[in-house]
Amino acid sequence: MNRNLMTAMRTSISEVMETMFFEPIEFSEGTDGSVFFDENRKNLIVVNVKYQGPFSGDLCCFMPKDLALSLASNFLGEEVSDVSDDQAGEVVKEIVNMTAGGIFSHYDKNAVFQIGIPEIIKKTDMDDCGAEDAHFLLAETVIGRFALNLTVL
Amino acid sequence: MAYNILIVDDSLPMRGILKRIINVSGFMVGQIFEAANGKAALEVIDREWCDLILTDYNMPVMNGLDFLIELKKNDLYRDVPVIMVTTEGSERMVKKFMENGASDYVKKPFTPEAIRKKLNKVMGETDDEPEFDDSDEDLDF
Repeated sequence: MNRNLMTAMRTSISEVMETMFFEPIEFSEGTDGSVFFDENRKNLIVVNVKYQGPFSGDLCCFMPKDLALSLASNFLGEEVSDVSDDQAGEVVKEIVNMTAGGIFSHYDKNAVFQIGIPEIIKKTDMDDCGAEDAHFLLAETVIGRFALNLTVL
Repeated sequence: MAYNILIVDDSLPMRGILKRIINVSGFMVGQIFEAANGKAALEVIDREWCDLILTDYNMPVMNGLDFLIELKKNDLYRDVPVIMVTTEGSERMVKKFMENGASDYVKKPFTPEAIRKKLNKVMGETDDEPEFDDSDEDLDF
């Protein structure tokens, strides 16, 4: 695990959640995420984006649907009951897009990374991400937890 | 003077949030047009008059840099100011945007204030604080 990359991940997701959603986040230390996945396995929106640059890999976000609906409601200025699953997915894609961009500019502002287009994928566990060198974060907002996994191939 | 603005972003929620910010920014807005990529944006520009463009970089079909380059090739549109609103944060990419004719740059995530300031700066408007009303259209997002 690359500690500088992990720090960049923390900084980036914190900025995204605080600036765009007014949601401060905390990180659960020393957890492997298994409890999170056991609790939410059937109810996750999973968004993946690939990146290429001085090193390559992908960033995966695992967000429980209820949390995604709540964040989308906040972001779109609509009642939770009026937010569709598609809209929630689009908002998670934008979170992943902004977070990925932030990670690499915090990690090395001189390097150029090409970030792909975020996609919703069918995965229920971070093991599915096929990580050779994974950077896993469990982030906690006041309305729920979600996970990020950055792989470096 | 009210300005027509084109927002180019493949993310529907992001276009929505930019629209809401612009509408409450105190900036004189005429019409706001939307496009999901650079190619669609060129089609909008062909049929609608736009005074200002806000564009993302990372989009399918045609990205924001290719869109900027195409736009600046056309004598009719080359003077329309373009603000890049993007997650791209590397100094090299920002330099590339500016070298290809972007007027300014806002990094995502952004605050409503950052957008308002860039709009005013690029259009040469005074940067007074907006008078927000009590309507439903607030800045919470």
